[in-house]
Amino acid sequence: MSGDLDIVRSLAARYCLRQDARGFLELLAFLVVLAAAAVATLRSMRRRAADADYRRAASVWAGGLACAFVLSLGVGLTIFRWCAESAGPALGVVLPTSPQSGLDAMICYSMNAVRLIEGWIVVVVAAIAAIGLFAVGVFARRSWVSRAVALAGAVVALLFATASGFLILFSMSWCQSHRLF
Amino acid sequence: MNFILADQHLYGALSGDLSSRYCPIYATLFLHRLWALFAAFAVLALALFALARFVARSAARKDLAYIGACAVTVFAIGGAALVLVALSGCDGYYQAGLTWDWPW
Repeated sequence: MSGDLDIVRSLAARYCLRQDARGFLELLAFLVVLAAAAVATLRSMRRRAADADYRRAASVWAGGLACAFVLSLGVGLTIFRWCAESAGPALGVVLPTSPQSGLDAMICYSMNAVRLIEGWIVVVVAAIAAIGLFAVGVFARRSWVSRAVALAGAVVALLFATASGFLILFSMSWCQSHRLF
Repeated sequence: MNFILADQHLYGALSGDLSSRYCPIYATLFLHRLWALFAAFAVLALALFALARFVARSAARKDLAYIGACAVTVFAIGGAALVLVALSGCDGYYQAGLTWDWPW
């Protein structure tokens, strides 16, 4: 019996990779870009070791990118795990190892994984852009016009990120509530 | 006994579903496309390595080209591994309307 369960779980994991392949490939590309940007920032920091202000700003920037990397990796792994655990119930067979609670949420998140991952990428990119524009607006030694434009851009990017995050949460809540009726 | 047989029937049906959904119609053609895509990424990575080694003059541009080449290489290998692992769950059948025609 446990052998059958192991086979089903192994098949479920690979089924989830196929079902959401586009989303996982996009997330992989995004993770690679984040890591590359963080490494490029650290390398440029090493080249301009004498400039203390630049080093401080670059280390904060690289830390932010690393944070976004870890969070994005967590989102991908969570979606994959929830999909693998709820694959049986989603196809009409509740296994002894199926989760007892939160099944509707797991099925909603895994069935909309591609949209969820794309929405997550949009939110993170908008948040990174907002932080970068805010830093330019506050710290850059430029004319007040360009600093004001950068600050206005930061506000717009932040509003866009917030609205996108709200839309993701709303659509997932809608999906779960729709299942109840 | 009947309960165990019913369970095994259910597991068989579920395994059949899990190993036939989102599978390619022509596995050979699918793999050819995947290798063509992988080769394109490999050429891009090699071009970036060559750019970093022979063309770029400043240290900043060299760094950028090397980091780009490494990023393309990691994505190509990671993406191909993901697709191959996913494909290994197919048992040769596919369900109409739920197929995987292209690695993307």
